[in-house]
Amino acid sequence: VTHQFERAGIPADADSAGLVRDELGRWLRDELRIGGELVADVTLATYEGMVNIAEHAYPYPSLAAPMSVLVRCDPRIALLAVTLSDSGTWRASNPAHQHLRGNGIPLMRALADRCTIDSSAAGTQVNLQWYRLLG
Amino acid sequence: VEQPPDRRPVAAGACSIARRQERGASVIAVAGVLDAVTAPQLGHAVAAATCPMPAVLIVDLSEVEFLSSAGMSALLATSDSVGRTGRFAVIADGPQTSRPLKLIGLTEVFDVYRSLDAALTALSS
Repeated sequence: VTHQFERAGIPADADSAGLVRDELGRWLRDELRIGGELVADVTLATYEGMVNIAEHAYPYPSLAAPMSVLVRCDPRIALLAVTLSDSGTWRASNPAHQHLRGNGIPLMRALADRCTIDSSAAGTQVNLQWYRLLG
Repeated sequence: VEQPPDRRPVAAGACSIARRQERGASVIAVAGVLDAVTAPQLGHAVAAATCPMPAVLIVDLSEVEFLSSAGMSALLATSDSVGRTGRFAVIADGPQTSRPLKLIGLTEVFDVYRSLDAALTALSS
């Protein structure tokens, strides 16, 4: 049985990212019955991905700017996969803010067992995967 | 001036910050969530605590349940400004705080202790 957590078309802003982070944490603990380090790693990496979308994909926050979050867990193959998507274009961060905002992507890469970011004209997809469900 | 620790419950997604003096150190205790929304609050608390610059500044994250890169950046900026003339340390323990600080390499940049007691003992020696 594959478990699924989905929030589609939510606003790409830091407030929504915080809300989804809290909901995701509860889902991981209550429905998947996982805890500790893995829940901390998954919620933080997912949050960083959402905040990056909010900050980089949509430079003009006043425009309607949705993002989607899909988390799937297949215990049979011990895989937990997070997919974040937007339809904006990721821009290089403002150099003035580089030292303040530069930790998000390295942190995602450090927290997830696998992290890929694919950008195209249609948008960006962030894939985060964990393979340590069985301990 | 000695201030009592702030023990009010922290709402979901919110952050509460209290400052006090302990054994000669200026201690900023953070509770709740330190993320992209709340990290500027830590910046303001640090600005207030570093004018004048204390000999020892400690940011205590013992009651922090979520620490994002924005919060880490605030810690890094604090370390940069305090480290020139004083000593700076962070209290963090657990998968939500000390683990990501270690993973991103910040435990190599500033000192991280598991308890305030350990930090005060190490910094006063």
